[in-house]
Amino acid sequence: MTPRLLLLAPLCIFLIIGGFLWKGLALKPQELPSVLIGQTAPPFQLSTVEDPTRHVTEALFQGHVTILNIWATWCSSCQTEHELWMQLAKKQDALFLVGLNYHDGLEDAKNWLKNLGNPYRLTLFDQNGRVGMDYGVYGTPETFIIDKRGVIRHRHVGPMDAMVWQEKLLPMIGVLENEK
Amino acid sequence: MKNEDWIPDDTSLDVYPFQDINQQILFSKIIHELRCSVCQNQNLSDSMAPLAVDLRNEIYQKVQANQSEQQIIEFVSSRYGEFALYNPPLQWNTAFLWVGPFVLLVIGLCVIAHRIGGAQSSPK
Amino acid sequence: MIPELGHFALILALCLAGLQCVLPCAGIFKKNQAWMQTARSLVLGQCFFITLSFLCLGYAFVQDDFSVAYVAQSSNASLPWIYKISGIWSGHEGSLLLWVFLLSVWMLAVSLDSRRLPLIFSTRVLVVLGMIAFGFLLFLWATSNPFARFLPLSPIDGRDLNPILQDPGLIFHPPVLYMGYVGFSVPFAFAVSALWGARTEELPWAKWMRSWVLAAFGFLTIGIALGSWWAYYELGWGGWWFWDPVENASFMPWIVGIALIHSLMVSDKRGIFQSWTILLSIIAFALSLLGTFLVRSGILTSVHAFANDPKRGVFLLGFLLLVIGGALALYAVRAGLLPPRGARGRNDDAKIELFSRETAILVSTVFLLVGCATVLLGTLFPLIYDAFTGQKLSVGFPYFNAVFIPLIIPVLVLIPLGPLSKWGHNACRDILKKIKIEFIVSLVLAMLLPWIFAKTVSMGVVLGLGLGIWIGLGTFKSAFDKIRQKGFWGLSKGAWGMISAHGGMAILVIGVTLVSYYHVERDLRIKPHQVLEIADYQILFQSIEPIEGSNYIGSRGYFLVSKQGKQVADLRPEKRTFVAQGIKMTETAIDPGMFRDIYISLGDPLGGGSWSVRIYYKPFVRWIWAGGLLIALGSFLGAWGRRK
Repeated sequence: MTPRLLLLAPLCIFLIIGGFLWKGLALKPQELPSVLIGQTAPPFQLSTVEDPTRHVTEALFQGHVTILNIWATWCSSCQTEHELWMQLAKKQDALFLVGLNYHDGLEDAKNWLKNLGNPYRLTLFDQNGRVGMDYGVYGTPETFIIDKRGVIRHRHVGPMDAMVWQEKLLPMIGVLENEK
Repeated sequence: MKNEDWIPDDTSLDVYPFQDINQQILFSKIIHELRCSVCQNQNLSDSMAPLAVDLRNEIYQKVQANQSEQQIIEFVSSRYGEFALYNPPLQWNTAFLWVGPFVLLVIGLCVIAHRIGGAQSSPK
Repeated sequence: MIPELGHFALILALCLAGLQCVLPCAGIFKKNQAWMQTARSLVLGQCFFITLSFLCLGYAFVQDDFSVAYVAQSSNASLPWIYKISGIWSGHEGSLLLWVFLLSVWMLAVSLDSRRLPLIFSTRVLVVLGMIAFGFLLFLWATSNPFARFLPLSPIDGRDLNPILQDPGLIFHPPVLYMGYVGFSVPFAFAVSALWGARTEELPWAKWMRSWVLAAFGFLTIGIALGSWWAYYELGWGGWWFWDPVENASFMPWIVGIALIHSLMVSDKRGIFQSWTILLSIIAFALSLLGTFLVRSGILTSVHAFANDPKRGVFLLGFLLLVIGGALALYAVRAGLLPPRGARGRNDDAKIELFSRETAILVSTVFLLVGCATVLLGTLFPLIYDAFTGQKLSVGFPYFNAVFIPLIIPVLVLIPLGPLSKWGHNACRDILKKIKIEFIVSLVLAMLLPWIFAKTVSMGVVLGLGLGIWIGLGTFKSAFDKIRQKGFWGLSKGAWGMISAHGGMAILVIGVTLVSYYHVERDLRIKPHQVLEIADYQILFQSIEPIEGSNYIGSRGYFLVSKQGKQVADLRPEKRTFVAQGIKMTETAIDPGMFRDIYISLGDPLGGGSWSVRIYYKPFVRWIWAGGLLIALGSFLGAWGRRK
């Protein structure tokens, strides 16, 4: 005789699964959080778009909060967010905004910055995308927030929008600035 | 998986030529077991996303440099996370996933044993 | 006008469904015959209006009415007309209308057939089906109206159907698959009705349920086989199964369906395993609903996912919880009350002999359910992991293959033993005597054949091939025995069904094993006039030409396949760019064969006249779908037979 308790098992199991599905509705499976959060920014040695003879390493990130924006001329969403960066650079010139031109041609990148304006302190030139790969870049544009000690603290995937900037990133930057 | 007899002698046309069949097998295994983060429904072998092409090239070089499967998987997962692995890692927080089937099997066997052995014919 | 008519018909159907839940149900409680009998007319009415609604949507597609948002999303003026029709079910709203339409078809069939059943039982079944219909119609009307208009500004042309879906496979795969999914609502309704009346009745519901289960299973089998075949030739990677979440969502009810068919056999013939059969009926439909939920809720990343809207996910989940939760609660309360059935009033827990057919079926169904549970675990684990750790994880084919295949082996071993064993008897010695030769032959062939043809032998091949041959020979033996006993024309449809289904399984297992171990893939960079080799074939890349179609432009490659100097095939893969959305697609070229496919997929130009080309050698891949079709045939034969 199958005990009454055992007959309840299917219902209980089902409700547990249902609970997970319910929780699942609030999650976003396509968004991939960066695995590098909390780790020191991976080392690199790149030239810049503005001055190809200048070489920069990850030491660039030391001593201040850095906003690292990954972009490319072949990426249409990057064009969308570029205007926002221009505005932000103008409004807040204390902002240490660095660009990383990903998988692109030098001339294309130079023309882009000439025509649309250059909001960046400098733009790293990652022609073969290896540095982007080290940073776990999978969809341009992406924006990293790196703290004073060169540790990655946040990544935003997709075009930056004013609301996310105002409500999420600006406060975060403020907190990081006050860190030692 | 490949059958050794059918590996053609001329590998010059391969996009990723290997002289050593074991390297070829390893390369194929790795790129099929990695997930493309851009085209998330494709593995690294089939995806045409620029990132996938880059990663395949990287992995090709690493296999040729005789790096181990472990090292190469580590290279990818340290940058793109466990999401990029179709073969979920065996660690404490995936214990439920890997142990689960065993538990279910044991429960199943208990059910069978109970029904065959224990149940008695009795009027209600 | 027509879309509004369609919308109105939908609302009418919704009202009728609502009535169908309430009126006949009240009739059951008040023992009012007239009220109970309204169920049949209400079903007829619903079917009429849903069909009308469906036709209206079809009309909007064919007439290029882009003021209807769904048509604009899924169609385009330059789309070939056949894809305008199949575009009806290419997106969320339309496919849901298809779901509801097919449900009304099944309901009508049940309603017509149920005249021979006691009124109270058939009314219960129709009430349960009515509740399901009501839920889906409500969902359609409230959140997924396919007739929503873009007024006053309607687009001049539609966005276009995703080019991957512009294919004959899209015409058949969803409707057939849905026939299967939706079809499992019928056994579900029967099971719930049996529980509902468990306290007062003793009815042969197992016998009544049989044909419905077999029919639904047959459709589901074909639907899955079609999906696999379509993915194979359409996607360009030569894969036929990806353990994608939505694929799994169709596979799980299929597995449970097999278990249900066999458990039902025991309940019908021996009167035991009743509560197990009922539980399996509920689980099969629960998995159908889960599949419907997964593909529309955005909860899992999948190739099949429709555009997602959290509101829809919430509704569907609520519906799922209500229907299945309710059924399982009823099960918990009533399953213990299922009356003794069968020849000697046998208790549901009657003792079974160790080497009897009952035991074979018990063991098989338990292992099948465990296998299904592990697939469910693997499919949902990324979700569970995300919920607990906030990190993303993937669970793919290495996991499923490692975990599912071992669990299925005992089932495969038992397949030929089932028909050879007897009901209620320990037939151990008999079976061993009968099947000794087949067992040895399977083992020998499994080791010999790979060695002869492929010159390598590996554990996996021997196991898979051995199991396949074992099932095949064992089935052949029982067929032979039956024919010797009853004569060729004396075999019932059910017997032929078993032979076809088990034989199909053998072919499926052999196909899966051989293609998995012996397939070859080459990823090439080649120029015209170059020759390459794969397996024993030489392939000459002749040339590449530009092409143009009704809604695309692209390139076509010309390849000549030869073997030992003799020409075997002329393959012309294409790479197309669809003008409307700029989507690129590859149109594979396949030389199909009973024992191997040669498969060419054209990639992108690599510069310097070189092209990226993928060539695959796929031995025995067609056996997979042939096996599937035989299984479906067997199922339909069984559904057709023995209607008493």
